Amino acid sequence: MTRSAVPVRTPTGDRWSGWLIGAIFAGCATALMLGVYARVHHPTGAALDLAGFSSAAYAKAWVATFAAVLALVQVGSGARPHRTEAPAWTAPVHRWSGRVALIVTVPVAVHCMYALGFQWDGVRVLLHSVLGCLFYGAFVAKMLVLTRRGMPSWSIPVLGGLLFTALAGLWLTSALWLFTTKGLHL
Amino acid sequence: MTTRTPLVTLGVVAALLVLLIGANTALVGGRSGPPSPIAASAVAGTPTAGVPASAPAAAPSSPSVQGVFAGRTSDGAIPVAIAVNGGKAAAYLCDGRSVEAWLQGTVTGTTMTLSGHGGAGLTGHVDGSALFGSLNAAGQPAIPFSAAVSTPPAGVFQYRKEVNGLATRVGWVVLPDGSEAGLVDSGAARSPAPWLDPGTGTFTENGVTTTAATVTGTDTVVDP
Repeated sequence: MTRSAVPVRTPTGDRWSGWLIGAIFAGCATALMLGVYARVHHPTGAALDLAGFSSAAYAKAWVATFAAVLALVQVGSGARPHRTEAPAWTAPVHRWSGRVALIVTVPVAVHCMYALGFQWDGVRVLLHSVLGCLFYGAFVAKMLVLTRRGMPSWSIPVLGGLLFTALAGLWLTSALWLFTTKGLHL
Repeated sequence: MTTRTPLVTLGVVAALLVLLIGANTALVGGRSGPPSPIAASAVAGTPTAGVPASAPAAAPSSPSVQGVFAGRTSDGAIPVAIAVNGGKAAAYLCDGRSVEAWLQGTVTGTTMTLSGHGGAGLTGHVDGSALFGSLNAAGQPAIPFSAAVSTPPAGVFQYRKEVNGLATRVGWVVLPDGSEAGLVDSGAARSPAPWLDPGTGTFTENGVTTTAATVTGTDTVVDP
């Protein structure tokens, strides 16, 4: 990839395109690797999970719900982070809600990949599997794009929107499904 | 100008991912002997420690096996037991409240395929003394499950009788630790099954003790 060839302070022209394309490729590679791992790894049916919930599924559903709430904070605080009229606190709120949201999703995703794997028995399961891979791919791409100034102004909103859409889809295909079919409890 | 903090975030998330997969591999996947999915699932009580390697169905790929696989869905909600006899299999899954399915099918090599009424089904593959796959009750989405070769009292039990002109059927799944789930189907109504004594295979209702039938792989559990 041409990452290292990209000059640092290049807000115009196609000089940012190498880094952006590299970031998107890294995101795609991440999504692909997670999907392949989840498919190739033999699902164990069980994995380490949190105590204090009625089952691993409920632990995951509640953690995912917490992440989904933080994702709403992300959209609210990320809408205008670079506008001068935005209050000063929006940037740290955006960064920290994002960090916490991402970190709490990791144990959930590891449980999915380790215990259940990438599956396609039914639309819900297939969608969830695909969105899970897409989510971390979009995250990797966004983090890499964020490291450079001068990226096209649409790149961060598009990647952020993709992250939010993926997480919302993940929540709808797992936690909401669990709460509506098995009951709303801890 | 460059910003390094997103890379730190990325690194922390990646490290956590690797750490958790490593911990799972060490603590869940690294158990000696055959995997013990029931022990690892959220079943209360004793795990299936000591499923003997020489249990009756320890070589399920052989066409002349007889035995029972018992386990739960990955969310722990639905116990399932599959009786295998030769190339035939009969199974019952039941959450003890509203979800149940009787399934019938075949074992070919290490692959098990069963189906029931209304699109209910179970597919799995045998790996040593464990069975992994997915199952679904009629009209329900598929859920992954795992089961292990199990010794009594684990098994599938049923009782059928006509009561007040309604064909009544009671089914039970009993897991190796003696925990059980069962439902009574009477006409279109479902209600919790009476407690089945796993030791004797009997249940008592209205003061009358009745023996339930132990289902084997060759029994017909899905009416044509």
